[in-house]
Amino acid sequence: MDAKIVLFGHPNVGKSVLFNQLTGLTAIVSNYPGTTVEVYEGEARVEGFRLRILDAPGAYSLLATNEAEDVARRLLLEGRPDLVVQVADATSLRRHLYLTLELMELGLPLILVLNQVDRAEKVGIKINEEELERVLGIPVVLTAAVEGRGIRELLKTIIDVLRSGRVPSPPRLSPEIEESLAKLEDHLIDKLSPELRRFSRALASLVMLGDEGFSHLTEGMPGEFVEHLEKLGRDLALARAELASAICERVVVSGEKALKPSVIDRLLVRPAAGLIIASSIMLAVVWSMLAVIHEIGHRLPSTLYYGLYEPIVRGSLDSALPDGLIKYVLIGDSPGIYSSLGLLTTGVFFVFFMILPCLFILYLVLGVLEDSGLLPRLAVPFDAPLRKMGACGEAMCPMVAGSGCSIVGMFATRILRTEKARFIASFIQWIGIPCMAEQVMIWLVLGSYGPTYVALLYAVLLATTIITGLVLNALLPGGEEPLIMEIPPWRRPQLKNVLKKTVVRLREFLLKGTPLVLMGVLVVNLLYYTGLIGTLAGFLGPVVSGLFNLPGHVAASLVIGVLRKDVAVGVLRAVAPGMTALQMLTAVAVVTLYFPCVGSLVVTLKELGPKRTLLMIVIMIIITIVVGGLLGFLSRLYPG
Amino acid sequence: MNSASTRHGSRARLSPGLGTHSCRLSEVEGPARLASTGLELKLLNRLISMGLAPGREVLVISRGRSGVLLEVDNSMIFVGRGVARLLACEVCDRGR
Repeated sequence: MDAKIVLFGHPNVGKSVLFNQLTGLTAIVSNYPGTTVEVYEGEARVEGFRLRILDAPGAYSLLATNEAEDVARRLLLEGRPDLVVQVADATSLRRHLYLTLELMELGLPLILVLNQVDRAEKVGIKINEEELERVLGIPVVLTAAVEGRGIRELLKTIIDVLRSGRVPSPPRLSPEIEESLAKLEDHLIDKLSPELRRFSRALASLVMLGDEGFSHLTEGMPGEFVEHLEKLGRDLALARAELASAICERVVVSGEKALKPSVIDRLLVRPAAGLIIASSIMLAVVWSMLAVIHEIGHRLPSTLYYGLYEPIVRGSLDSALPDGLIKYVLIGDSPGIYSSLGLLTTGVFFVFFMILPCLFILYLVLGVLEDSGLLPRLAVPFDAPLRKMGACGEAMCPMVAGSGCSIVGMFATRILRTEKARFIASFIQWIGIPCMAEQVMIWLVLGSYGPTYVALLYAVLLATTIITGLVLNALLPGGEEPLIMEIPPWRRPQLKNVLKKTVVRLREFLLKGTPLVLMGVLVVNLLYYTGLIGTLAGFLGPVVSGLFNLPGHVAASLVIGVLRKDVAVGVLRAVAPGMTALQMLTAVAVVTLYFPCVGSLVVTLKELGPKRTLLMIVIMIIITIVVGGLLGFLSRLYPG
Repeated sequence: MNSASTRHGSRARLSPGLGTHSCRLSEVEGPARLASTGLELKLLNRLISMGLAPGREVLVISRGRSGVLLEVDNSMIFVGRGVARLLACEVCDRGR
């Protein structure tokens, strides 16, 4: 028998850890709210049941305030689940019971999982689970998902509930609220699709609470009743909160304080100190990674590539293959890493000797940052500056995630609460935050002229981002939402989890990124083989040479940039050898700014729609002309 | 008696026996009880769903120009200054 189960709950309570435990899969787990913004699906087979388990994005309430919460809610209202498992944090039950009471209104079988019970026990918090089960009328299971504790009991409870099909009764509130809810339900019932009719009570609550997604349902209702709805909504929210509090008083024995704010936490709310701390940490991380990558970039080619790999591959294929297209495509016609442009030489070097080792280091560091709890803390000091650019502090998490891969970052903008903030945060990722693979190439290609030029590039990207953000904020319509954000506790990153995430991300790069990297190298190779590079350079010459003061062959990089920006930067030395440092800086800036890579473009189209994507592309092209033109002017002024 | 060390945020509760006064959350450091106010429904919903319901005791860990960092039910929540200014609360006469 098949059953669909949705894991639902606040952000950062351990849903994905539980999902991994139940399904044996590896959904990425981190210590910041909004790690999961898509729905992950896995399977478990227990006692003849095939359980399809869905890991929903975190949501504080059924009243969705951002795209991620909306995705989670739709999973319940439109996904036809057989069972909902609410995952709550055992150390702060009171905050989670409000959502429990909301979920009980759905009329779906429900289990409450109190996770992180190990932490709760450590600080002496005791929960009377039998009493909680009795009061709520739903099964309660205690788990410590990280340790695998309580998983067997949870699976057993899931099977019991699926067999019994028991549905909780909605919580009873004051007679006035109940009467109004019933009246509203009567009004709504005919307007709802057959699928949504079963949720009429929950939807009546949402309408009463002013949910904008269902506001159309109030059309045709008596005017005075609609006017009265706001007061009723307020009463409903307060009554539920009081009920949650009263239940908590009955079942929880408080322990010691579970939360230990650090000095950094206290300083975050002071803008100057917060910004200095946050920026110093980020700079220290970036520059120490740069040092490591610099080492890798110099040692690997000389030892492994030139010393071992190239003599074997080139040595054997050069004599075995006749001159012609195949040989040219595989190993090119010259031995240098950058000048060969063969799939087995430059292509393999890019993927296995340059990008992968560096990504391994970068993803390890990103994993540590994610698990430590630092990322959400960055939101606080950066809130004010980002608001001036039309985004908000919460955009820091997607932006840091986007430094790994902009596709991930684009999805992560779902946690933002306004369309304007989403648009601007997505745009910032397109122009201001090169993905890690591209950064590796930037550090190696531009870094070969000296670290100053890498720093200069970042300064150019930062200035461009800030100016564009300020302009977009002034021009685009739309309001802003205040920052109210849960800050997770500091945690010592677990090596196992960090390594697991790193492996998942590297596998992702190998499966999805590598074919595009090789295709990029192949395209440049064929442009040279067929002589089309000359035609392309002639066609784009007025812009590339005239405006940006770059050799015409850089046009090949711009074409490749649509596929992969890392390759586009990587081949710059091959397509245009002998560029000055300022010219290389201009070329890298133009490649970074002019157009998104294909993966990021597809996701943006899906997330923001064609109109906004087109607008972003137009703005990008304008920015490229301005910034590239200015840098080109400088490189003419200082040709040395 | 409320003996909270408000600067360092040690565990403290509002003592019902003491005199209290109303103020805004942005003005407080230490323990406070959120009060019911005429916030717009959307904001009220968001606050309640995150655990910041009227009547709830919170501990303001730190406050600054960006906003306030507070503890509620063993969780740490940052509230931007704009919202902190809107939120009324009650504090002990010594807790301000």
